[in-house]
Amino acid sequence: MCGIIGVVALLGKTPYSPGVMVYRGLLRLEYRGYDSAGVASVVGGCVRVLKGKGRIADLERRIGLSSIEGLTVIGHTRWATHGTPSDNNAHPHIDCSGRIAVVHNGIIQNFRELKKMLIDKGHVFRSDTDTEVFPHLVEELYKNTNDLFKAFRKAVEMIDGSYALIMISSIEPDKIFFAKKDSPLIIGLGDGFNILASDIPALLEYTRRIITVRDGWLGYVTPTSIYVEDIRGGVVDWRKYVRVVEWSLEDATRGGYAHFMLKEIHEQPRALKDTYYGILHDIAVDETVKLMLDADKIYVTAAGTSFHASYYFSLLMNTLGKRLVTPFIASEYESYYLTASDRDLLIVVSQSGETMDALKALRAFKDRGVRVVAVSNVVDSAIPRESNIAIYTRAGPEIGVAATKTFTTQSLVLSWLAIAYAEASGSLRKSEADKLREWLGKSGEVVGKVISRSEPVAKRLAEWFRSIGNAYYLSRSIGVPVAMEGALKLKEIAYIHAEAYPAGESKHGPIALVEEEFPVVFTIPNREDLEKLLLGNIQEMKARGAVIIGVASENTSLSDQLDYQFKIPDTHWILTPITHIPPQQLLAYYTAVSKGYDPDKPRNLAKTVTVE
Amino acid sequence: MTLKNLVLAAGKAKPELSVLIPPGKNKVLLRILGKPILYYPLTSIQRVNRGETILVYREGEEEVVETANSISLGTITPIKQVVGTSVREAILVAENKLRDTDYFFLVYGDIIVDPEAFNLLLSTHYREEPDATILIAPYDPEYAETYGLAIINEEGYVEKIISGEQAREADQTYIVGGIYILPTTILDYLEENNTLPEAINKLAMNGKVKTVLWNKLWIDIGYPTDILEATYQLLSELKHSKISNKAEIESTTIIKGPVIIEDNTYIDHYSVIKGPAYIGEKVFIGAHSFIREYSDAEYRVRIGSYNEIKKSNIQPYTLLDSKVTIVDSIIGENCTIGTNTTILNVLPEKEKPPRLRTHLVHPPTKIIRKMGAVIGYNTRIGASTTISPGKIIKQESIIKPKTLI
Repeated sequence: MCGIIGVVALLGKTPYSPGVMVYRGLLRLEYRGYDSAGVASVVGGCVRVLKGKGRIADLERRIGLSSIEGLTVIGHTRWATHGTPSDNNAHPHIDCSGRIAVVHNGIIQNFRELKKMLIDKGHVFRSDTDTEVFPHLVEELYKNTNDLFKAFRKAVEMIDGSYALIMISSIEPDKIFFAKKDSPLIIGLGDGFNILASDIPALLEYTRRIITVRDGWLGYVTPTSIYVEDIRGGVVDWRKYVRVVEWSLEDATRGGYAHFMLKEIHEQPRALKDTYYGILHDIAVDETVKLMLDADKIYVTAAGTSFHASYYFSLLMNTLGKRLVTPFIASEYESYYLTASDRDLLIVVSQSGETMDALKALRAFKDRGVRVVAVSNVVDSAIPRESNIAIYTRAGPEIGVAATKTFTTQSLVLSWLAIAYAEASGSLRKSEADKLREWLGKSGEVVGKVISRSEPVAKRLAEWFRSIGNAYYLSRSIGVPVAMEGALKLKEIAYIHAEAYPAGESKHGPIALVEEEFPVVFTIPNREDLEKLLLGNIQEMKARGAVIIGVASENTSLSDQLDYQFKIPDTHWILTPITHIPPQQLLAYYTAVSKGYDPDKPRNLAKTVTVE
Repeated sequence: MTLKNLVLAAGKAKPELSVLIPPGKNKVLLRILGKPILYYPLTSIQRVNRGETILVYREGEEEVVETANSISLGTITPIKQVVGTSVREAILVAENKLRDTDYFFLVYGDIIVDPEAFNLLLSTHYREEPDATILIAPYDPEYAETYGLAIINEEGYVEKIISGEQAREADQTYIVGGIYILPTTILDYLEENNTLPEAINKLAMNGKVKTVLWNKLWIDIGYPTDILEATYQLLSELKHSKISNKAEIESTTIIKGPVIIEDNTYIDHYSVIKGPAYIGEKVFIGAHSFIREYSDAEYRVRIGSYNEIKKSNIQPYTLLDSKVTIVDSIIGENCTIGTNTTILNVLPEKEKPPRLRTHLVHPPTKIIRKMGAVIGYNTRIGASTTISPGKIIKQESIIKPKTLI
C-alpha cells in the first residue's frame, strides 16, 4: 500500500513547480501509507534525492521535499509491511553511478538472487529493500545496451513479483519510465506535462484526462508524449484508453464504498488472512512466548479499542493458559508500574504504535527494567521501536477513525499468543493448540460470512436504533470485552449512550434503568456454559420489557429468547472477538448513517491520540 | 473509453402493481413527490455520464418517451421494444446502438437510488477498470428470492449471481441493484440466449466483475408497497419546507414539519399538514382535513373537508370526498372515493400478504404489519364504504355505497 507519483514537464507549463506537484500528490496518497517518503529529480545533469523516515508533512519541514528543483520529479510514500522504515530504506533508490532513481510499489520476489548477482558484479547497495536491485539492474544492463529504454525493459523482464515502477535518469532527463504488473498505476495527461501516479487522487488536481495502465505495459512519458509497449509484444495505441474522470477525490479513494468505515469493515476477511499468514512463521511470537514463560508477572496495556482486545487476551490467558495476566488501561499505568520489576513482562497494544498513553506506560515500566512486547499495525512506530520485541498485525492502513479491522486483527494476534503460551506452558496439548490455530486460520472466511449475513439485519435495526437514547451491551467472561467494543462503536460514531458490563452485574444496579423497549445487545459466545448463564440475564431483562438483540451462533439454544439475532456461523468460541464484533460494528455504522452522521469523521475524536 | 447510457423502461408490472397503471402508460410513469419514477434513474445517470442516453420503451407506451424528453438532461434516443418481456430482450433491442461503444451504463427505469450511487459506481469502474461493475445492496433475506443475489469474494468481485431457491439458501444477502456498467461483449453472451445474470456469470468466469456496495436509498418499484416505501424514504430526506409563493394557504391552516407545497395549490381553513409531506401542483385540500406524515398528493388531487391521510400516495386527478380516511394506501389515477369511506390498515397477525412494509419502530418487540389498500385507476368507490387491510381493488371498479370489502 505505498504511493508513487512522477511529473515530467516543460518549463512554465504546470500550475506549480513539479516538485510542489509531487509533494501535493504525495499528500493525496498519504492514505495508502505514511511511514517514510522521498522525492528525486533530474537537475543540471544529475539525479538529486531527498528522502527520509517520517510523515510527509514532517519531512517537508525537515528536508523540504517540495523544494526539489527540476522538471522531471518522482516521489514515493511508503507503508512498510516488512523491513523497518528508515532513511535508507525510503524510496527513491539509486544506482551506483547516481544516474538512475527508482520508486516502486509491490514486491520483487527474486530480489535476493538479483542482488547477489549484482553484488558479485561490484554493485554497492545502500538499503535492505527489494526495490534497490532495480536501479542497479538497469545500470548493469545499460552498460551492455547503451540504450536506456532497452535496459529498462530488460530489467522489467528479469524481475518477478508485483510492481508499479517509475524511473528517472540523468541519461535521458526528460523521460519518466514506467512498468506495471498487479500494482496500480495511472497516467495523467496534461498540457505541456504528464503525470504518473499509483492512484487517481494524486493527479485529479492537475488533470482529469487519464489512462489506467494495464498489467504488462511499460514505456515512458515525456512532457508532450507517451510511449507504451506491452511486455508480451507490440506497441500499444494508448489513445484508445484515454478517458475523462468527473468525480471527487473522496469518491476515488473509497474503493466502491460509501464510507471508509464500511470499506474497512469489509476488508476484515482479507486483513485477518494477511495477519494470520504474517504471524504464522514470525519468530517474534516464539521470542515473546519465551519472555512470557520467564516472567514473574505479565501485564497487558492499551487504550480504547486496543484495550478491549488486550482485555480479551488477559481472559484467555487466565482460562486457556492458566496464567494470571493483569490488564490495565494505559492512562492508569501509575497504579500498576510501581509493583513491576525486571522479572516482569509488559505487552503494549496500539494500532498506530504512537498512542501517547500507551507510550508513557511503556516508558514507566521500562524504567523499572520491565521487558516490553509491542503489538502494533504500524511497523517501527514509536511503541514497537521502544519495545524489546514487536509483533505486527497486517490490517493495512485504517482511515476510519473508529477502529474496526485493527480490533479483529489484534484479537487474532493476541489469541495466537495465548494459545502458543498455553501450549508451551503445558496447559494445552499440542493437538488442541493446533486445532485452535486452525480455527484462527479460518477466521477470515468466517468473518466474510458474518458480515454478509449481518448487513441487512444491521441496516434494519438501525431504523430503530436511530431513535434510542441508551443501550446496554452485555455478556459474560470472554464475551465482555467484545460487548465493551460494541458499546464503544455505538458511542463513537452514532453518539448514543451505550454501557457495557458483565451481565451478572445487572442486579447489582444497572437493571434499575431498564424499562419497556430498552435495547440490550447480548454478545453470546458459542459456549454452552456461558449460554446457560446468559439465559438468566436475558430473561431478567425481558421481564422488564427490554428488547433483546443477540449476537449468537446460528444454532444457539437461546434463539427463541432473542427479539433479533445476528446469526454467527457455528465456530469455536475462541473466535468470539473476531466473529461477534462485525455485526456490532455494522449496527453502529448503519445507525450513524441513518442519523445522518458521517461515520468517518466522528466529532471530538482523532485517529491517533498522541497527546495525554 | 466510450460509455453510453441505456435506460430500460419497457418492463411489465407485476399484477398487484398493474392496477395502478392506466392504458398506454408504464409503471415508470407512476408519480412520487411530483416526479415520474423514471425521473429518478434517468436524471441520476445523466448527471454522472453525459454520453448518449438510449431509452427502451414498449410499443403503445409512447407517453414514456414524451415524459422522458420532458425531464431528460440530454438528448434521448428512444428504441421501441415490440416483442419479448425480459431484460435480455430489452438490451438486445438496443444492440445496434450499443455496438459502437466500449461500455454501457445500464439502469432499470423503475429503480430509485440516491444519485451518489451512480457516481460511486462510475468512479469505481474508472478506478479499478474491471470488465464490468455492478451495484449491490444489502437486503432483507426474506425477499431475497425475488431478486438476483450476488455472491462476492473478499475483493468485492462477483463469483456468481444466483436467484430463486438458491438465493433463499445463500449465505450472502447482497442483491443485484439494477445498475450496471457493462462491456459491449456482454451482448455476445446475451445473444447466446443467456439471461442477464447468466451473461454476467460468464463475464465473471472469464474476467472481473466488480461490485459496489450501496447502503443508502435503494428501491426497486416492483410491488405497490415499494411505492409507499419510496414515498417514505424520499420524504424522510426532506429537511426543510418548500412552499410555493403561488400556493394559497388560508390563515388558520397549520403546517408543521418539512413539507413541499407546489404551485397553485389551495389549502382551506383549519386544515393541518404534518410533514414530512408532499402536496403537488393544483391540489385542493378542504377545511379541517388532516394530512399526516409521509403523505403524497399528486397533481390535481382534490381532498374534501374532514379527510385524514397518512403514509399514502395518491396519484393525479383523484378526488376524495369529505370524511375519508386513507392510511398506508396507494390510490390510482382519476379515482373517486365517496364520502365517509374508510380504509383499515392493521393486518391480522397470521395474514402474510407479500411484500409489505413492516413497521419496526413502535414497539420494536412487536412488528405491526400495516397495509391499507391499493385502489386501481378510474375506480369509483361509493359513500360509506369500508375497505379491509391489504385489499387490492382492480382498475375501473365501481363499488356500491356502504360496501364492506
